Amino acid sequence: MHRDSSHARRGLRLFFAIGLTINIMLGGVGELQSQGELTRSAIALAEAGKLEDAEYKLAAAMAGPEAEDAMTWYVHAFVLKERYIAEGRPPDENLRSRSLASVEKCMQRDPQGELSRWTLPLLEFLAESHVGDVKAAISAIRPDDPPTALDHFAAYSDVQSLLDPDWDEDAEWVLVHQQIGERAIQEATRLEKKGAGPWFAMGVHHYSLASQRAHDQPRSLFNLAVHTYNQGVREFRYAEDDLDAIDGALRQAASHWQNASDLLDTTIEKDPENTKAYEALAIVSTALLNQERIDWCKEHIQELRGGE
Amino acid sequence: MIMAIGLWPCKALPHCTRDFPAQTQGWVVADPEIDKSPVWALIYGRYLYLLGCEMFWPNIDRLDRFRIAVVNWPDLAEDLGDRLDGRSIAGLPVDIIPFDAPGFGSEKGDFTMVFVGGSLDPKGEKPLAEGLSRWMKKSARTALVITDGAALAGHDLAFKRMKDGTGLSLCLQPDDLSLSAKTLELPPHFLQKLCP
Repeated sequence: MHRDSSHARRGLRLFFAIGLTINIMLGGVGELQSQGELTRSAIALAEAGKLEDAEYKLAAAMAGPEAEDAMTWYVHAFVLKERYIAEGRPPDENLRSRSLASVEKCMQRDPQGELSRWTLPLLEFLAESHVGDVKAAISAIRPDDPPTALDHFAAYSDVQSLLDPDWDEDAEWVLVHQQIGERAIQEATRLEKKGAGPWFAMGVHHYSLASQRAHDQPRSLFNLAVHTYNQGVREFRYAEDDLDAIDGALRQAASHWQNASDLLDTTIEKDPENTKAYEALAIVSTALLNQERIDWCKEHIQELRGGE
Repeated sequence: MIMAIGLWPCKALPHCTRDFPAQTQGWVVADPEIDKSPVWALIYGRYLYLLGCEMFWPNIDRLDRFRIAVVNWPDLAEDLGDRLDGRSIAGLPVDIIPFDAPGFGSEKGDFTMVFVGGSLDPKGEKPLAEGLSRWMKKSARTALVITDGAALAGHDLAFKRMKDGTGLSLCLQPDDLSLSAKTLELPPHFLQKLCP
């Protein structure tokens, strides 16, 4: 059994015991922390590893008065999570999204957060499972496939919002787009001569999205500029040995280099002390025959290095 | 990584803080490095290679080797060396020989092509002109002498960098008298690239 699963089972047992104690203390009245018959039965089935039977029992519980019990929804969320593990962590969202929906219902019925000791770790687990899926989806990403990494991130974001209503997704959203951009550009670089175009376009798209948000903006802009410049160099380097092809490649490279120059200007605007951006702009300006800009970059680099 | 976190309760209830970048630290790709290749050496290298192929193909039987002198532009010599390593121009073995300006002035041999770089640099123009002049005085030279822009005495062709808006190109400015004295003709493709 997985470590997280055994922890969860231990948690469930503890939860059951505490719930039962409270139930006894409250004289069996259907209070928040008590369990109904069907829920108790579902817990026993889950403990015995009969997860589908437990789920069936919980469906009956949720169709009746036990639906008002936060614990019933927690147990349902837990059972679905256990099924997700037992089924080998399938990347589709079905079990986890249903589990999340049940946690939400549990939390709605538990405004004081008395069950948070159990619900929060479950949410943590769900969030982490999506991080793994984001990573796997980025590794497998292709320009012609729908961006499943973003679907997993959206699911992750939903969980995080439950964990912390004030959570701001910006930083992680930017990171995911930067990651997709990097992955796509790596592939464009690897392919060099053939088929790099769609990968490069994909990389630019995701880096552009990342650069539109304030978080880590200079880095997104700088990385996009560098990749854009490098793509121009690569396209020129690998143009066919034919005068028209080379002329065309030089025109296209110049267009990439101009874009890179504009991006570096913006990077410097956002982060005027970024020495690497001035160094890169000097290289790009050399390609673009912009001597004035080269001199300007050199002055700033010298200033930033303390006039060495 | 995920397994390690498992279902441990968060310590900071009710808000559970996490550090996503830390979770993904292993798969954050390092910031990219800009390609520091001497890009104009690369550009000149490609055009020179094509010019060499097209221009000398008709008279190939008169040559036994294709010798290119690259004066005052080591990056270009290196780029051509890499490009032509193990290859040939029009079926002939190729030698790429780099020189500085004084070294070229002392060279006795002739070449198929001579390329003179840095000719537009006001500081470099004089030594280059002197080196070229000294080399030419040693014997009748048949090499096609190309500069990267300046009309140095003894040159046959200038290959100029052009910037038009955001577009970049190279154009040719031939010295027709000098070319015809060597019975050299620019290939038709390249005649379409004369400077305005």
